[in-house]
Amino acid sequence: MERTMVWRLAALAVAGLLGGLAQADGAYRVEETRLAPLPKVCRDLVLSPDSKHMGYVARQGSKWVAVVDGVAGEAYDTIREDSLVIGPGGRRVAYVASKGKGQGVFAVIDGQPGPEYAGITRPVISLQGDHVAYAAARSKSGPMQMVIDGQPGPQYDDLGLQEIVFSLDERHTVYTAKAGAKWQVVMDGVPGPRHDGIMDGSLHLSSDGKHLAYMAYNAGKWQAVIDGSPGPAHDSISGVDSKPGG
Amino acid sequence: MAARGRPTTPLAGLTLSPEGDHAAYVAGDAGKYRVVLDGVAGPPHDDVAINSVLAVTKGDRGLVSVWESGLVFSADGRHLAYVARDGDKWLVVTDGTPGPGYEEIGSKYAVSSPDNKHLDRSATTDARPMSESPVFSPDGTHLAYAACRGGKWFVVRDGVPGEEYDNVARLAFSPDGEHLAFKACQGSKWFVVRDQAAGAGYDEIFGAPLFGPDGTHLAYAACKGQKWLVVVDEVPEPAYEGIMVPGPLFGRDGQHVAYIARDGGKYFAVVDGEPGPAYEGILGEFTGFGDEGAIEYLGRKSNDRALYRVRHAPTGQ
Repeated sequence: MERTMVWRLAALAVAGLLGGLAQADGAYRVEETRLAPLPKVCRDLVLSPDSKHMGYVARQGSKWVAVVDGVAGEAYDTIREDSLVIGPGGRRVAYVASKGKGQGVFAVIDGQPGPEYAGITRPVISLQGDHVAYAAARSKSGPMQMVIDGQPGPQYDDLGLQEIVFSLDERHTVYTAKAGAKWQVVMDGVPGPRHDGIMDGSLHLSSDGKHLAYMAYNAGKWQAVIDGSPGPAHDSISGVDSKPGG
Repeated sequence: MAARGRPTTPLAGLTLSPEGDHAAYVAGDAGKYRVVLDGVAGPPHDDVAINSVLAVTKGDRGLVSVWESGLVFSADGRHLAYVARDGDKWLVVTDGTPGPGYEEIGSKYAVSSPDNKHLDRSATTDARPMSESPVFSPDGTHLAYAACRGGKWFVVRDGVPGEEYDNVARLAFSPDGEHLAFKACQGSKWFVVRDQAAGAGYDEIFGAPLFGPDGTHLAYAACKGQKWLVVVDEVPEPAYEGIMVPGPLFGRDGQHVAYIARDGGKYFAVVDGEPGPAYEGILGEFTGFGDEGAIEYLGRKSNDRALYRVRHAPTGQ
């Protein structure tokens, strides 16, 4: 249900206020399109990155639905708070749902429910919207894995901040993972060298995904690891001198 | 879970050049600090400026500090600059060459509202200290930074100190690198200095002045009394209770300016000085003009529960 109203703003004397800007014949036409009204009970209002598409979670009887640009998805017993995310242009939609109390949770991506897990993180949609990823665990205290485009990756004891970095060309992914007592950077599913720690937030992937760099902690010293090669060891790196957490 | 969309943004520890083909970081050993560029360590310093906590990432482990390095690559990645301290003097080191020493370098002035989303008088009560790095022109051929000597601040452009003020902040080059603008304070008034010419004085100026794409136009948001207004080429537009972040934005042809303003509890887009329809709220971040020279946003009215998709399009479309 949409209704469009057009306002025509006359070219005004205001044009003269703008000095050198070319504005004399620059009237703008304002188009106002009324979207479907918000229900009385709704939450988690979110926007696409360009702020042009809007979604929210609303009550539907005893269930909850995610509504994006006025279109409701399937109803679920729960939709996790703050899990709804809309990709660029509004073309990807993801959230976390469950089919009842005590049941497992699953990601719903573009309307398709994924496999159940004991816990999963809020899905992440890549900048161009080509990929959707989340971290998941089969049991509360069990190993974790990164699920990228529906494909579960290797299982690890910890995924650190559960942060995944996509290259700008959308072809590569990296995240940190812990196996036993050692941390690794996993690039495109392949784990790299093992370290005592990796600095939070230090993962860098070049725009074309060809270069990977991060800060690693080994034997009480910090090293920059660039394209897999560790550099010289230092007492501190960029002011960080303590052992990394996690 | 979080994803960073711009992996080349300086974040914890390491700074990559925009194309990712150069990497630099600050290494500390035995009380001395060196900048390591592509594996080669530079001269030792007593300190190298690092911005404090830049962001806080919320993962399952809770809040985690993320640090920003003060290392600055030029857009083409060919030049690297940073601020260092040798003894009691601070200096800018460009491509390994130290500049003259000053009492301070950078500035400590920034204004944001508590929610960082709007500008108004309350912003002045929540000024955040912020240090500034040197600024390269987009083509990497010019470098500017703010420095302090004898309690007075000035801008050093390509090694040449400019006029002195009580404070200077938010340096910005035009896209062609030919023009430099910044905001400066003298007494109780802030003003924008463009190519050494000072503009009108205001109580506050938000953020950095913004050049249009062709470098010939300049816009900024300023506060006068209880009102905020946008100033384009030193011509003030009508004043409102607030101007929303990010302030004025130019169209891609540099001939049009748009921003979101608040007045009487209502929010509206202003395009080329002309306010559009008012809404109870305008959702999300204002992104300015699109490819077709139009602006688009979502507005909420108070008289119903609907949202409105609003588009300001040139009448030629």
